[in-house]
Amino acid sequence: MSPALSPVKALVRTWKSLGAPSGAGVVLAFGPQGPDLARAAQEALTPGSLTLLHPDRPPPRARFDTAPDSLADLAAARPGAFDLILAGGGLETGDLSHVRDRLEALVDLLAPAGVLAVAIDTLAAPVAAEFDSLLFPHLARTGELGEDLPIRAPLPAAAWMLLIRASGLTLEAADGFGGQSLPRDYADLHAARLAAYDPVELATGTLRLILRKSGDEA
Amino acid sequence: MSLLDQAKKVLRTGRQVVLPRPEDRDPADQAAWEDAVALWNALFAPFSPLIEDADVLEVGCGDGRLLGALAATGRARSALGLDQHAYWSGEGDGATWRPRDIPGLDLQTGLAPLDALDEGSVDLILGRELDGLVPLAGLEDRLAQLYGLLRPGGEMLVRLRCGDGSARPDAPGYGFLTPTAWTALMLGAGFEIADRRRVWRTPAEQGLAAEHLAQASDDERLTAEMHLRLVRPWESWELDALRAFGDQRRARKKKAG
Repeated sequence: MSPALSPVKALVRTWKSLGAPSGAGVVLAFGPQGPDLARAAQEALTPGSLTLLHPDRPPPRARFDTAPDSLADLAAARPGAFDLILAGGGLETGDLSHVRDRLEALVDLLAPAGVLAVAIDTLAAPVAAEFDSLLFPHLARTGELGEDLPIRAPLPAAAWMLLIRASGLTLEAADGFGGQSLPRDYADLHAARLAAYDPVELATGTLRLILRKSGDEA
Repeated sequence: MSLLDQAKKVLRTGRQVVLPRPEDRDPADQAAWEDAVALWNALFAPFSPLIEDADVLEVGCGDGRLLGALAATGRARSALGLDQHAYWSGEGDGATWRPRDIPGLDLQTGLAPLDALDEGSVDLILGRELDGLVPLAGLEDRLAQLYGLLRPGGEMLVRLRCGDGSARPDAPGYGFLTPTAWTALMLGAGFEIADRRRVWRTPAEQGLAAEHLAQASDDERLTAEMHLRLVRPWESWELDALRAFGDQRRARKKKAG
């Protein structure tokens, strides 16, 4: 029996199965998984060169570089520099304008026809394995559900699709649409609150997407 | 008489008080007042808001005539309207009129006057084009501010345009806000949704929506705008304070008696 695949390796394999290109020339990776994401990308996608957006220097013998910049700073310094960007998470945190700015920075970083592989937690995805933020977004926003709880922009899957289109990216492949069902006790106990949302939107928690920037490959 | 009929009567009365007789009125002015009445009937009257003795704030008041009519009846205690331009003075091709002739009516430009208002000082907020007036950067803070301006039990009636995936600066719903996204935003600001109405996309717009949102429900895909009646509920600490106040009064009465 083979050992269980780590979540980050599973994510990269999902991207690969959805069409993330192997052997891409210049690749950028970032996300809460840190160096593990870079290692998983090296193993599964064998990029020409890989930069991880991370504040620390790369570990010894690592086959990737790190850049300590923010996405916005990097986009200003190296526009159009990357053939493939792997975004392992964190795209959805903060206010709506932050989310839009982050996505626009990623588009700026991509070369024409470059590919963006993302993992996005929608409005309906659990936070710390719970759905309290979905039920009580006001309490979540004011920190009354826990100060450490990340504040997530209130974007369901359909809004993400529109934001992606408005940013100039085209959806090539997706995994996760309709793949979630809320725990029965939530659905029973909080039906009245959940009725405020569209039921189809509640069925999509985490999305894994392959997106492409318009333009011709160099 | 139903609340809807009462609201229509309020507007009719307001027009009679404020305006010269129709035959004396400039045609552009007359048309602008007719537009205000039509807007009221289409957007806000269906929710039958309580106007009598209310402090009313309109965020995005256009030429201010709608608010002027509400104030002119004497039933609204005060009426403050804000917009990007002074359309009431003729800016942006607005049809000029004289808001200062209506007691209690105050029309100002920009959103900065919101910062000078006290929390809990407004009973009713009207918003006909929130996404055209409030920039996306800081939207959540503005909504929280509007929530805070309302007295407990106060209402906000808003028209919210839904995104269509376009990237224009003036795109409806900032280009990407769907009905569920707007709903979550409002709940996040603290409002409870008391009523919701939808305006559907025209047949010409529906093909594009279907292409952009293939995985979404018909409701999400085909809603062009939502009209929401939002309530600022009593919060638990406010109810506790009210209960404590009542207990103190009863104790004082008992002691005095």
